[in-house]
Amino acid sequence: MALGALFSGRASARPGGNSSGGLRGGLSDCGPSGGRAAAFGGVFIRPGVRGWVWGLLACTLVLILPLADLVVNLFSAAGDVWRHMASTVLMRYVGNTVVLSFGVLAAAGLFGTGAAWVMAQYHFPGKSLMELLLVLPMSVPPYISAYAWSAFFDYGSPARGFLNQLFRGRLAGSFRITTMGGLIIVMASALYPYVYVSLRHTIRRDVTPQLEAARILGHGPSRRFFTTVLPLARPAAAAGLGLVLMEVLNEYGAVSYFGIDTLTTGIFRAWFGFYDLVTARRIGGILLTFVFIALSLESAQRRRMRFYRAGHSSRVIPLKQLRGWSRLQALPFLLLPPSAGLVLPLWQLIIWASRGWRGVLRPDFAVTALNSLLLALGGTAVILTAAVFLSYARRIAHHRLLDDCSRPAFLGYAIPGAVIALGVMHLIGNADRILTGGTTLILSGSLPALIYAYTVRYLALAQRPVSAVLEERYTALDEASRTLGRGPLHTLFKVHLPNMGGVLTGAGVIVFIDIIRELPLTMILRPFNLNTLAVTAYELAANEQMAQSALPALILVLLSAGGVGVLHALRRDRGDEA
Amino acid sequence: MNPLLSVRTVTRRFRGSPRAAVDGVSFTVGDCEIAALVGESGCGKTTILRMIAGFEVPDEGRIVLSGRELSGPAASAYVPPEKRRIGMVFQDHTLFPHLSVQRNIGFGLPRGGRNTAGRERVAAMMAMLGLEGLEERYPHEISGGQEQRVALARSLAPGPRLLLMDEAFNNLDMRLKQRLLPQIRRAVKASGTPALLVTHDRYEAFELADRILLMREGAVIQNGTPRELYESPADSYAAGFFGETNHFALGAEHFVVRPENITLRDAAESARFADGAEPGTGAAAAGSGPPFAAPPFAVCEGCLRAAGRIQDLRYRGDIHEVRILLDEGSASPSDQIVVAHSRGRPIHGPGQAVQVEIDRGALVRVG
Repeated sequence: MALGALFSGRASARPGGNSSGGLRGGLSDCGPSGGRAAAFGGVFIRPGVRGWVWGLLACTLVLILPLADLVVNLFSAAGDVWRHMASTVLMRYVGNTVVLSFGVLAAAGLFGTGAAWVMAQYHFPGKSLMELLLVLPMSVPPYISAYAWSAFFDYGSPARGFLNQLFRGRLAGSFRITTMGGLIIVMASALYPYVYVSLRHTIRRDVTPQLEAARILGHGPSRRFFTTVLPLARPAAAAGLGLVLMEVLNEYGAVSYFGIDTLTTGIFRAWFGFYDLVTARRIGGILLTFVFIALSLESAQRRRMRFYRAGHSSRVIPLKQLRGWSRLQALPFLLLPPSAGLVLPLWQLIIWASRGWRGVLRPDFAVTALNSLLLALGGTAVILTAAVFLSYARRIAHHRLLDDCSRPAFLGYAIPGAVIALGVMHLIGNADRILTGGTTLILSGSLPALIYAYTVRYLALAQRPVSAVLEERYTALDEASRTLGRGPLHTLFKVHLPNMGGVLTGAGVIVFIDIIRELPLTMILRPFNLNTLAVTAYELAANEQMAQSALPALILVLLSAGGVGVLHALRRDRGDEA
Repeated sequence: MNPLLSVRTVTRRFRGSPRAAVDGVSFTVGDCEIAALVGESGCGKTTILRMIAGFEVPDEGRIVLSGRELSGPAASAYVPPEKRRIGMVFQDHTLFPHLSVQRNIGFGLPRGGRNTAGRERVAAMMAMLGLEGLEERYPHEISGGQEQRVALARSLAPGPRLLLMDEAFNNLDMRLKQRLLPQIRRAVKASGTPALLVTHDRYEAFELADRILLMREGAVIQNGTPRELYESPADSYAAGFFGETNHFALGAEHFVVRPENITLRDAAESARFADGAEPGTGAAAAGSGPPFAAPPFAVCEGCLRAAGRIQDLRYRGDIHEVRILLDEGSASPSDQIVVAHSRGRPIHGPGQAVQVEIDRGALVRVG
């Protein structure tokens, strides 16, 4: 889950990207003219930083190899399994993926936009609690939400009984939640906060002058919303929707639990069903194409956002009291999304956990929890180190060409976990063949391979906030330290790192939560017999052992909720919120 | 004075820019000297400073400090910033926010200035810049003026061979600058460190520097003492850079004169002293002035004189800035406006007829 993508600021709040904005962009213009004696493989590099440049290039290569592998594979020869799947099920996978994507985008867009508009316009008792409630559904992974919903409306459940009473048995008999429509509602209720958080800030601050102008020209609230807010906030909404789309394409647990076949489940079928890596990677390549389309649309919108934000104001709209007719209009937007995304799944999980926790609390559960914890901590440490190294090396090397070369290393956050897993698996398999001649597997199915895949997937989440500090701010501090006789490494440890406590904590929380909830990538690459909380929760639920699956799921939700709370507080501290 | 820093035909081009940011610039800075690179934004002065510090590498030319080459044609000649023993004071926000004032100043000393020798050195620097009592404060707890003094103390503490100051006082208000700059100059002189500062503020350059290098479009166009640059500008750009200037074409030659060197007389009063000279016909008197007067000016004893009317009067506090439209001369019409400074004279206002008098010695011939 790219939970942190939203909090780390790029897609939602900071147009301009991570490596080309602000001071850094200005400095890049001062690239050398070339032709100097100190040329380095045809590229001018300031003497004294070559070690950093080699390190930067090596790291970048390691990080983009799995992605490049998938793209290359799209053009290699296909086998029988591929031909069979292509002629039978592939079009259904593509169709389902498209329908699910558009459905979730529409529903999440509606929930998120409505809630953001109400929160940015009105004041009412308990608003700060509401703010948190609207964000917290982020902490419930869609796959957990999916089986909670499914059970909530299952035969014999109180909800179903209520529906039976309500429709006198006419509708409820045929009613099933595990359909495409149900999946869209479930996923939208878990993912709408991406749109909500993106938009809330924009509506609250960035469009104030235009809203005031519309008001003085006689537009009422709903007319203002449609004529002013929606057009102006479209780029911010698109940024949030971009993240929603990436999450939908990444999702495996919810989709497979509802029995809807998408490209992501197709990857699993090809690999776990036929053990055909070539076909799985081909489907991954198709999925990757979807991602690149989404990414280019999002970046086009971000460019527009820069244009829209050119004249933005730091003034906020004065809030109005929510009363009368507007209260009735606003209530569905305030109550439905958090109820569907948080209260319902949490309620269901608590009921199950209260029934089944004794059966789960065995020594092997403690081992699973410890595995999850250590894996997430180890992954976070590696990713933070890599983010600091890459950002600092880019800053020191200070060359536009190197910036451009290393940028694909930060694409992973947009690529579905299953796709990255396939790329890594193929790469690691090749490495094993080279190292051992194919006799034994050293790297395949090992912990380092899993952490490597996490790094490819989640590096961008840590790199964005870290590079905001290391590449764009404090350039003068760096130079001050250098003129005082301190080299780059000393400067990093004595000047930058001591000032980055808050940033590293924030980035660490984001990465930790994302790793601990990660499902598809972990399922494909985990070492034999290694279980994590996420995998355990999913497998138990898939085996209909709901009561047993609830405890690990609940732990994941609570950990994520804690993280979301911390990030929400950090954001408020930075003054991002009105 | 021995040249300590020698910049020799240094050139720097940036990608995408048709002309060189720094174009074959040469100059030296002597022992114990404070020199200032002055010019408008984008003239290349900061690029020179950054090349001397080692943050930019020249495309051509050499930079030599105390006989040691820091940058030259061979890549191996490049010395990284941390090995150059050059101190630098930056524009702003360069104190380390996580370190106290004391630790900031000690940063460049062995062991961060925490040994006995380091503590003594930090204390001496703080005393020199009047920072006593701020030892344990953090950068966000001190004022802007104190911040720049701490930055200077930090740069001087390791005993650099050269001190660079990059628009270091830009963010201070005028009153604070007036108080702070003499103190800064005393401290730098007391430390015996030669310094090179970059500024676009002529007041700052006059207050701090022994020598000024005026830059334009990547080249140094004049190099001299502050007095030379103000009183004998090399060309009309140099004249205009250091203050408001009147330009006169007298014959084939161009002259400039500062507004404070123009005397205004009431037309009725000056008529009584008129020597009857006709405009544009007087012979040149001895002196450094122009060889002959040209319309609308007439020559009088040791001065040029013309009649005009006050067009505009602007109150500047210590002076009135007066704009005078000169009357048509007998030979040619004039639309020339002269700017003069009037100090305590009875000036009535726009429309008043006045006599403009320029002392011959105040006229400076330019390019």
